[in-house]
Amino acid sequence: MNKEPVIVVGYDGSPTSRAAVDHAARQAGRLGKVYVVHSYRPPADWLGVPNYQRVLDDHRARGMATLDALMMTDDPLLETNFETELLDSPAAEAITKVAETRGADEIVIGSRGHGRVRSALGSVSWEVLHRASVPVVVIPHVDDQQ
Amino acid sequence: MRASSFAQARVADVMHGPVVVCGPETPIQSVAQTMADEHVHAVVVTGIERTAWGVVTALDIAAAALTDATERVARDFAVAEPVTVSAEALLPEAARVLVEHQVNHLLVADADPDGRPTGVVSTTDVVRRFAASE
Repeated sequence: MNKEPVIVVGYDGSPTSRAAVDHAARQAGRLGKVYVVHSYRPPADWLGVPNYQRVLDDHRARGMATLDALMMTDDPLLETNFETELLDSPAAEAITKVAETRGADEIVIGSRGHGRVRSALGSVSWEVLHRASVPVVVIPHVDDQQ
Repeated sequence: MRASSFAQARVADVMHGPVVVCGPETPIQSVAQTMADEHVHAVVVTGIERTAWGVVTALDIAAAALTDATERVARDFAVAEPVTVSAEALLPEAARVLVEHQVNHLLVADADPDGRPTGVVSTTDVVRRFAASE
């Protein structure tokens, strides 16, 4: 790369998003920077004050656990500079928001398609593409068994 | 290890690696950067006027490099009606389409009911499979 790459990658805990993180880390190398984004949808307003906060706390705790588990593994991510970001917004919105804020050169995201022949773009990556101002690298689907 | 017969292989069998996609207003230098970083020779462009998809190839980037392209975007260089192939098509058929249209990349675009692309298959993919086949 001509400059130190800044890459934003979406991570939801799935094997495909794990492959996306690994890909982003390898692309960034030792000099680049990777922002791993995990998000959760905020609870519905109609839940009311006590329930809303309880559900929100639960979503946030699960999100933090997902990111903590990611950082405990021995993988390419540890060979680069990375930060995790946990946002309470829909995935596509979170990923593009971080990309914009961090001045990303590219976004990496996993495909969520199914079947032998899978679309390169699932619903999240499709929305990311329409929001993003930088190229989006779509990683092929990885089966859970792999 | 030798792969199965080239004649029996399908486009889906040789599609691998990431697919790079960008919007029509993505700066062409940004497209070039990602193309270089990801070692791909074609980037799928969405939302090209009148057609759903376009493709920017390395050759298009080379052409852009000959001009003052710093302010230009993917839309300016994308082939708006790329040649497509079915993911289930046999590789010899894909090879025939590549040769007939004198292009190096085919957009694989028919598997998704919403018309989203499945990927890109290139002459290199065909050559690689041909070389490895029994």
